Amino acid sequence: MDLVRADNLVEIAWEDGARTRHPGAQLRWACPCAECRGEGGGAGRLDTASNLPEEELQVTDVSLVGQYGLQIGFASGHATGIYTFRHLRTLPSI
Amino acid sequence: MPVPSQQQVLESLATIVDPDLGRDVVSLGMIKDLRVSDRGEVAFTFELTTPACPVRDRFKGQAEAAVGSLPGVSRVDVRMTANVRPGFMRQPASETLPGVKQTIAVASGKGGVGKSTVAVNLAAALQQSGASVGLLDADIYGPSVPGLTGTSQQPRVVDQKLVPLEAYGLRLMSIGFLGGADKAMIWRGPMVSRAIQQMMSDVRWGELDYLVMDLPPGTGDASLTIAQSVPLTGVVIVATPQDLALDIAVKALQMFRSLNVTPLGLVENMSWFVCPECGHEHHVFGHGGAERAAQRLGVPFLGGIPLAEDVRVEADAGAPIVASRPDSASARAFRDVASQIAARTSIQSFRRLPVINVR
Repeated sequence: MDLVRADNLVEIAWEDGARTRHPGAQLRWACPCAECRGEGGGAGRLDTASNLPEEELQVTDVSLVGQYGLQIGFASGHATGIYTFRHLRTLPSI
Repeated sequence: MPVPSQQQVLESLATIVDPDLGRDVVSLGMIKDLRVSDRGEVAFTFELTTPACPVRDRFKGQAEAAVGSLPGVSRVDVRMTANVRPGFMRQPASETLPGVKQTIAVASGKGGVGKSTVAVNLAAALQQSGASVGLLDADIYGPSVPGLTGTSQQPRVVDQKLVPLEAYGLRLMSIGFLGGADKAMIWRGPMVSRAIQQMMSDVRWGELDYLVMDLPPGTGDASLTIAQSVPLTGVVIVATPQDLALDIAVKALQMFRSLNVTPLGLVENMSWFVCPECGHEHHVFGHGGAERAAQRLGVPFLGGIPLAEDVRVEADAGAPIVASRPDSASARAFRDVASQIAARTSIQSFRRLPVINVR
């Protein structure tokens, strides 16, 4: 797992040899947290927003959650999303 | 007669394959301090990945036979030792539990299946085999470790960290030591999560080969917190043989699978009842249920523990039966299960965790 700060990119080398690259904006829009996705049938922030300011898209931190996913922190301080490896693998690579 | 070279000795030992790891013991780095004297005396250390290794004696015999059959060898001296390897070949160590090499969670789908009794006896059996072992009671609402080990003192605080209590050679921590075992914890989920994190990071666990974690039943906050905070080596699921209990055990398994925690296997507790009157084995809850369920789910079956009065008597008296009645059939069953778990845990130490680099 490489976080390339200069390019705002997260690069993942998978166990099966595949390599994928994900820009900060893609990860931010894919955030799975309740605030972004909505809960209990209610709409989330990303359901209504049409664009996000730059600091929302800049990845600052990546840390491991147990053995099943990554917590990704953005410059805005938003860091509540836990991206499971299964979820990350479904995101298209650039 | 010429004596064999070190290389020849190693080649003969390389014919011994670890049944769990599927590789030869030389390439696994288990043979150390090899010396061959001019008179053909061969001496070496055989370092196992766990002192509770189920094939310890077989390895020793195989090593003596393999080296002994080389021409020119007059004497073989094998020293058996064990060095538990840290989970996931981790460098540096986990921040939450820096001195702990392996973390084993004991879970169940529902309560009352004897999960805590299994956890306490697993910890005691691993300790008896020579490992340093801690036991964390993560069952906030129903802590059983104080009662099962006969401990209830308030732990001391040194340098703002709690010092675990010691009993039966185990380091113990439970919410029951802190709030009083007879007081009810009326807490919402976030409080439970915080308490569990503190029992990991704010306790002076020190250097441990194994930390056994007795989880609360079900698939709730406590189990989730643990699976998120530390990379667990694996989880042991305890179930009783009847269908209902097994169906619920499957849910615990599903939870840990979705969190990418490796199931070490299924333990069947209360497998059979030995009648104290006639000595006959009664399969009160049916026979072979957990073994079939383990097969169906693709996880190892770790063994069965009998429903026996002595287990209950010792548990109520605050003693793990493997320590208080080591020669009983029940204690033997616990030791066999512990040995299987230790072997499965060793396999896990050869897996790797993802590495995160920031550039």
